[in-house]
Amino acid sequence: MTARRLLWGAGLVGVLLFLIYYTEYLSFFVCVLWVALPVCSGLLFLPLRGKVQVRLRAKDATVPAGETAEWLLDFENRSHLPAGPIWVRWTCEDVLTGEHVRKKAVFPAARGSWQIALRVEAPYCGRLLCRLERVRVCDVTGLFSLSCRIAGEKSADTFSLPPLQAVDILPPLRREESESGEYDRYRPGTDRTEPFGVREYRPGDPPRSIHWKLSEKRGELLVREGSLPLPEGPAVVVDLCEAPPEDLDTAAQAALLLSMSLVSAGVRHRLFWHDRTLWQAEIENEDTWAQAAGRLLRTPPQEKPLAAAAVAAQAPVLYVSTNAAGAALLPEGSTVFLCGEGPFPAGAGIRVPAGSAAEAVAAALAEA
Amino acid sequence: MRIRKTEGLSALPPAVRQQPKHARAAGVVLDCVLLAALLGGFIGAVLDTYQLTAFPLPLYGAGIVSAVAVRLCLKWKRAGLIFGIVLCGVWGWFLFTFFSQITAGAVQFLNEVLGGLARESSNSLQFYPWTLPETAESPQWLETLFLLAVLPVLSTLLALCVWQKRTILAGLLLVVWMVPALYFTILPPMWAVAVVLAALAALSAVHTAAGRHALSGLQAPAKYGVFSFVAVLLCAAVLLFSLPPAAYTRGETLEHVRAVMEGFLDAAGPNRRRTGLANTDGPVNMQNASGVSFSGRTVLRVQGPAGEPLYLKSYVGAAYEASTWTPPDGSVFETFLEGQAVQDALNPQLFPARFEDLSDQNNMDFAPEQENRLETLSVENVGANPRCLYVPYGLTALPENAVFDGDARAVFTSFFGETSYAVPFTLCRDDSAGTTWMESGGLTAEWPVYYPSESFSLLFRGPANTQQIYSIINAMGQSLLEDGAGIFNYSLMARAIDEMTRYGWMNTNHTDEERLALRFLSAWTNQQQRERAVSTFSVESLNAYYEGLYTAPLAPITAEGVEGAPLDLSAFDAETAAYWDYEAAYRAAIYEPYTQVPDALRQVLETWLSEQGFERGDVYTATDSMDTIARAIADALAETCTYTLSPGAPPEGVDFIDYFLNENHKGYCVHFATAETLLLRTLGIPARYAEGYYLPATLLTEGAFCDVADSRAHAWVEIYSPGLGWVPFEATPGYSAVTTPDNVAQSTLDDSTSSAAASSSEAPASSAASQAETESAPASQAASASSGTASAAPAAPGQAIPEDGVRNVLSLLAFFGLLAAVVFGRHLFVQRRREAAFRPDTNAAVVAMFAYLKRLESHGAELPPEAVRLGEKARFSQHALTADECARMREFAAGTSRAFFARQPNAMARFSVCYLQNLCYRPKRRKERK
Repeated sequence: MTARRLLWGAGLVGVLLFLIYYTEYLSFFVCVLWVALPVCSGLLFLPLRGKVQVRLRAKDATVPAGETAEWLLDFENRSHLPAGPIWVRWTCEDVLTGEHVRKKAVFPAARGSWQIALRVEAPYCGRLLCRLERVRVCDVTGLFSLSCRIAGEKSADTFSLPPLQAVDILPPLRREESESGEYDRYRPGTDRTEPFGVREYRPGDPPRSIHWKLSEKRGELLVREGSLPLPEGPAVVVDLCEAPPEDLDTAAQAALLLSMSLVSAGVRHRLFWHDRTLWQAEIENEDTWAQAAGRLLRTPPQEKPLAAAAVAAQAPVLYVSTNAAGAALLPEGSTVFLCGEGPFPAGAGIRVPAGSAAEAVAAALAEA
Repeated sequence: MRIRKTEGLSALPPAVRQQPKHARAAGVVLDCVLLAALLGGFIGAVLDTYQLTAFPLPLYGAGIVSAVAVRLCLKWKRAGLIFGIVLCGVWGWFLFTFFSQITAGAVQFLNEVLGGLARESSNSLQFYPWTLPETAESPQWLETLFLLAVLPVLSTLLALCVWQKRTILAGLLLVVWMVPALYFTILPPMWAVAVVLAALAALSAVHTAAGRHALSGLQAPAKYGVFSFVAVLLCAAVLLFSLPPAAYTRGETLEHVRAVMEGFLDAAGPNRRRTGLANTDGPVNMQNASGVSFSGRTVLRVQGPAGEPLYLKSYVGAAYEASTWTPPDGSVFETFLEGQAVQDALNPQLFPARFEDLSDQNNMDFAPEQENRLETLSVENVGANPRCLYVPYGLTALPENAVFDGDARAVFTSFFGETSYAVPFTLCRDDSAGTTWMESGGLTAEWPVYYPSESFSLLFRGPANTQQIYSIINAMGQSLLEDGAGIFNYSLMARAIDEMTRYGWMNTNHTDEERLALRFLSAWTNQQQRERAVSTFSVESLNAYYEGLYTAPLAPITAEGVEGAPLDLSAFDAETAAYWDYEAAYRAAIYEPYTQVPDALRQVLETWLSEQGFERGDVYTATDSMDTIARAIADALAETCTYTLSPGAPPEGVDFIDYFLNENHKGYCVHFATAETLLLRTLGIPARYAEGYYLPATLLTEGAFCDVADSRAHAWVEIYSPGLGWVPFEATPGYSAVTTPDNVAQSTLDDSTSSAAASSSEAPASSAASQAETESAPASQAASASSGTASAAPAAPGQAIPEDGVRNVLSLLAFFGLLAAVVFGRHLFVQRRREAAFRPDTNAAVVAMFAYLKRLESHGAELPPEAVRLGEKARFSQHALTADECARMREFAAGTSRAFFARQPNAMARFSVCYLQNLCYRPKRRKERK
């Protein structure tokens, strides 16, 4: 539009010079037309206000990393008057890696409804947030513009997920489970200090498990069930510091891979990450894993490494980071995965080169 | 937290996932319509502007059809390629078959175009038509065939531009052919301009709507282009209707701005070579003198004697043939010089100054203190042709870096000319009064045209000669004093000589000195008698008369009463005698070339002279001098012809002067000067055509440079004055030395008047100026060039764009604006009301509809009670109304609105409730939004 205005202004200068130097009617005619046409166009353009509407939505909730993510723009023009092009300025940001693109697109303003796809190629995993910054419709001369109404939200997101293949967890990780102090909510156990529930007496139940008071009230024998204590499981700590996007992608991929592998092995564990505060998620199954993965992927990289000592865990700690500084205060027996190109001190941990998280994690777990 | 932009995340071009519903073919149809409009307008403009005689219908058809065909080829892809090859084949066959005719047509086309441009160029463009090859077809068909061969190329290029929506390129492709015409202010027809502009605007609108980054497969609706096309045509029609071209008058402010800008450019940039009137150095084709106009810009800055009118000559036309003045080629003067034994002979352009100098030396005793005024004219060429050297009459010497170009003009030795120079000259002197011609009451810048005897007596009228002759006569006992004042009376002396000759007193014993004096007197008397010997006023007799006058040497009458040997004047004054003999020889040499008139014109000129009475002795008498006769001719021209700056060009095949004298009777200085020159030549008086700048007496101020505007360009006559040389003569009516109105003011003389302005001595500048205020010629009628020549539309003083036109435009705009406001206002109201009625929030929707119903009730409508209940429920209840209740409320609103509308008594009331009060409500069933 600025170019159009400059062009019209240059044309106006030319027309005025023509009017000054050329003494005949033609110069006056051309000058009046040159000035009158944008004015008329602008006047007829005013009723277009509010008639052009756009809605943004993500085509898919998730896309594999490296694939093309799409957001759909649904346009609707309810005006019969002619309209010029529609200018859309939009941005897309990968929250995890901190990358962003800012683009401007121009579409002809047709009549009725039509749909345009905004496409972004995301090589890394993360939460891709697409936002409409500005949507304007111009008149036929391209000199004037009005804001288009954006129905719904101005932003829409989709997740770019890394390719994950669960790795077999080694026995040491499985054997060294200790009690976590929590109990299974769905299955009873033998720990009578934590009641699980009350049920009818079955032959074979020990007499000391009979709840005499309730039994008297109910008129039937009822027994107490104890809770099943849950083992502590390993802690997967993800420390995403500021690093190149490929390193952050590798770190996220490695952490999710580790977590998924634990889930596949039936190992209950906790996932830690920090976003100014320390977050943790209990990963028990695929659903909780997916929830935690979504929350992890929308975490932006932090300026300072996580104080890993804050992670109170007796179980082995699997520390995944792009920075070796946070690994210094880890409890003994922790396994450190250093993702990216580094530089990392020698012996600081297991190197996970960018783009090869799966292989590195699998090799590390095999050795462990 | 820093966000870094990296190469990982990258945006891909957007893609179309769902097309809008519109006809794809409409885009191609629109392109074809635009092509038809562009080519139709262009062809019409070219045919009309250049006055082409080609047949228009085949051109329209071929141009449009070829453009549409090319456009369809571009759409059909593979089939189009085949079709395009076929078209090329057809075009190639056409070229091959009619090659000779096309070639001839090209010649005809160029003749018409360049001839038309030359006619409008005010002589700045000289063109002589080429001869057409002989063919069986008429020139119209030849030109048509040529254009038919060329148009497909233009059509193809235009079709490509339209296909690619290249508005600027398409515009340039069309405008470039009109530039030569626009340069010479030849306007295309406005309808063609409007159609072409409308088509370009439509093309631009479609291009804009598509956007620069248009997606493939997503097109703007073609109707946007149609809308723009219609809108521009409508605007153009409104403009042409409210302010038509004939009523357009350029405002003063614009002219002032233009003058300022041109002055700035001229001051800042190098001198641009000017052409046209007073800026020519080659042949001048009078067929192109259809009109001239001036911008008032300064072309010269001069410093000279205050209060003296001056002609600054730069061009002389010697031979007139086929309506063209040609400068002298120098052969006459070179032939003359070969016959002279004098080394470094005096150039005839110095004759006036030499005459003044010699006559001043020999002036009479009663005015010995009167000397010739020697002046210097300083010239700065700021806008005229720098190769032209503008010099006044009475030249005493040339400026540096200048030489004489034969006997007609002076030129610079440098090819690029000079922009600043000084010219010494002497003012014309009234020897009888001992003052300048101007000081003695002369009203023109003309110099006198003497009889040979007059100049002879002025030259040799020295005290010595006078006293000598006087004493001889006195000694002979003849008292010739009339009034006792001692004034030497030539006429009395002539009688005395006559008597002495008759009575044989020449036979008495006289001294050699006395005899010489008597021979002097006798020769002078003989010359005078010869000068008064016209017996009849027929052209033949006048030619013989003037031939004798100009060419016969001074010879005394012998005692036998016959003409003796030519007089040797060196005994009286060797220097003056040498000059006199040299001048007489030159006079005789140039007499025949400068009295030539084309044979085809001679009869026309003689007939005109006869009709004006020049053969009956009514107009002048035998004792009148040549300049009196010239003045009589000028007066006759002023009586029969009208001065105007836009007389129009003569028809092809008609001579310029014949058309001016016998048909048109309208012209400006070049017309009058040419006519005067040829008429004088017809009578046998040597004359030639001159151009340059005329400075009236009031222009120059002492000691300061004064601006000379381009409107001072002028043409006049040079008459050969025996003894004096070539002197200027003013033939254009209305010029005076006191205050000369500009040519602009002259142009305001009403063409409807039967006679031209008053004679040069009595043209009051104030009345001419005031006439300029009210009767300015329409600018559209003045053929002018916008730049590059010293001409533009005259600065019409005082009158801007007529108020009526502005009022009309404003009125129309206001009317359409009001209409648009009414229509769109209603549309807006109704839309808002609809949106409010279909809000997702049912309570809010019902409340909005209830408010509408209350408004209807205030105008007299009756509300259904159920509607009131629903409205109150929506307003005060905490429960949300159902969709059914909302739909019922909509029905109530629609029904009440219809009933209210039906109850209106008349159309005006219905119009008022619909469009002015926006009360009516006709909710339509809304489509479900996706």
